[in-house]
Amino acid sequence: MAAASPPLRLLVIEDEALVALEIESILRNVGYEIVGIADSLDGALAIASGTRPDLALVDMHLAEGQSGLTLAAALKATGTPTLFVTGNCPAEAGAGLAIGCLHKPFSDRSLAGAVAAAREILNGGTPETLPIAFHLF
Amino acid sequence: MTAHGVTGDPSRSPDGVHADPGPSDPADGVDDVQFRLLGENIPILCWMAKADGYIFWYNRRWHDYCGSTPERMEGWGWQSVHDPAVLPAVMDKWTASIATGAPFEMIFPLRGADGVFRPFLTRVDPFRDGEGAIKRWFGVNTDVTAQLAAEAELRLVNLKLQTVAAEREAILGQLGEGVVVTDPAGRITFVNEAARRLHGVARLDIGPDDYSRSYSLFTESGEPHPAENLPLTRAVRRHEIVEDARWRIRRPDGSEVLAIGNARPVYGDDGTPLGAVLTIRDDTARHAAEDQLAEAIRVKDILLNEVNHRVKNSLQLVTSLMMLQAGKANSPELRQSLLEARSRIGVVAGMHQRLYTTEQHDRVDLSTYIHELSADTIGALGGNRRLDLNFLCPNAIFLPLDRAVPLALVVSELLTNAVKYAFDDDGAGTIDVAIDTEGEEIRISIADNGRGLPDGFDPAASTGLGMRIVTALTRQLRGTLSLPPMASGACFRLTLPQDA
Repeated sequence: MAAASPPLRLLVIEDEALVALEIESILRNVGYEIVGIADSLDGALAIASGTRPDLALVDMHLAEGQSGLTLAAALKATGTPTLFVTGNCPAEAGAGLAIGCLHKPFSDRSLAGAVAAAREILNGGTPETLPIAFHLF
Repeated sequence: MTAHGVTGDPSRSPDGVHADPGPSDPADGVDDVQFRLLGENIPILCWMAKADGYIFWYNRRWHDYCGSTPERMEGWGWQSVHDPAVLPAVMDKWTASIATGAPFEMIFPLRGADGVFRPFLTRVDPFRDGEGAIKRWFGVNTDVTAQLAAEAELRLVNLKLQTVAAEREAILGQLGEGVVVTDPAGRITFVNEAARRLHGVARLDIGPDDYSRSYSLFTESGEPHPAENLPLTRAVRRHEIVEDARWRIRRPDGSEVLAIGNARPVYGDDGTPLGAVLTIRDDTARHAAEDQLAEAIRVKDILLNEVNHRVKNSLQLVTSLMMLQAGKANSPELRQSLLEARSRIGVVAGMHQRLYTTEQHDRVDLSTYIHELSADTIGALGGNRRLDLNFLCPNAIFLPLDRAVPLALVVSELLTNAVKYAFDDDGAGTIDVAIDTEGEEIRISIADNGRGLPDGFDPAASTGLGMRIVTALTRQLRGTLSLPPMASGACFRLTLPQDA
């Protein structure tokens, strides 16, 4: 699956550094641009305001005990849409804050598929199929 | 009584004998002179009457007290200093004595010269002649005001003491805490209801040497409690204040109580020992709760051990699979990559192994782990190189697992880097690993005396996987990585907060 140009610009927020590297590596391989990696609320908002990403991939559990829900709400206020990538899906609490939620652990295919589906929704379309372990709010 | 009726006024009797009570009366053969001399000089009131009750003499003290004259008092004149309300009873009793010859004894009030009635204990005894006929009555009246007041006071004090005692009994009976009181010798004088319930018995008058046996007291480990270190004994005999002592009580019904208690000596205002007081609480339930908690923790420990063991086994399986895969690799590069991945997973597996082989389930001792990791890395990757390891770590440093794993991975990468790239393939060298804490920081340095780093080397800008892992995990640990300048070789210094 290759992303059409121009490449989608992504911000990755994940408190496990190696998982963040993995997400970055998978998404780069399929043609997305990673504008930054952060593991905390403040770090994420700083990068977001400087880079204006198209989509933020947000873990529910952040460094310093912060919540992905709080971050999603803050990002929404700055106009950045969120896709949760987490082992602790917030369920209804995430509705209105994020496009959808990809459950960990994920495969390369489902991560790329979830971002592609989010992109389609952001472009006003409706994805035909959704990857395994991914759902929309 | 022959001459006077009880209803008449005997003083007005026409009997001429009464009108002339001489100092002696040869007529009835009695000489009163000596008695009068004696009577005048004693401080109590006294008088003499004839056999028919006619009083012919009062001592001086009588007249001093009553403010009377011999004339007014003579015969039956004394009735004028009596309380009219009591007089009939006095008359009844006195005339009865005169009639029967029985001694008279009664307390009745006599009015003083100041008009105040005071109680007098009055005793009158007959004096008889050789034939047993009554010749005289001798009467004494003793002022018992002070005695009666003292008796009244005593009754009041007793009443108050009874009230205090009843109150104490009620308060101590109401208490949930057991209370035992002893005298100065340690003999038990009081056991309240709660203490009786705790022991199943309440024996009084028991001394320290018999406490254990009488009340079935045992040590926490179940031995009969030695008398000398029971709290009450210590308070009585050694004047100690004992707090939160613990022992066991075996009740007659066989049930057992874990007791916790305080004892202290009691002193009077002047410091004399009055005894000791022991208070006892039933600690059985709390003990049971503690035991349950300890059991729950034990079970949790077993489960955590099991989990860590399984995680380690699963990771071991993964490294085995990668080893097999490496053996099948077509190119040396692919084989090398698989072996590197295997070694990184091995670092994580080693952490979990350490968790279940030590008492700690969620933290590891960094120093011993990194020492072993260093030795293993040099042994596994050193090849033909002759490398010495200097390991320095003055103290044990414990880190929780979620920080220990990334730190171990960073150290492993830096060690691997040094072992593989600092020296010639068959060269010799030394690797120094030092871990120390300073304030709230942990400092780890990995130095070699090899060829040194390329000019302008920046770990954060490095595209090599090892350095990317180091950079990313250092950031996750909220640490910093610095490269102190070296005369020869290279040094990586990692600084991270102990708690993040």
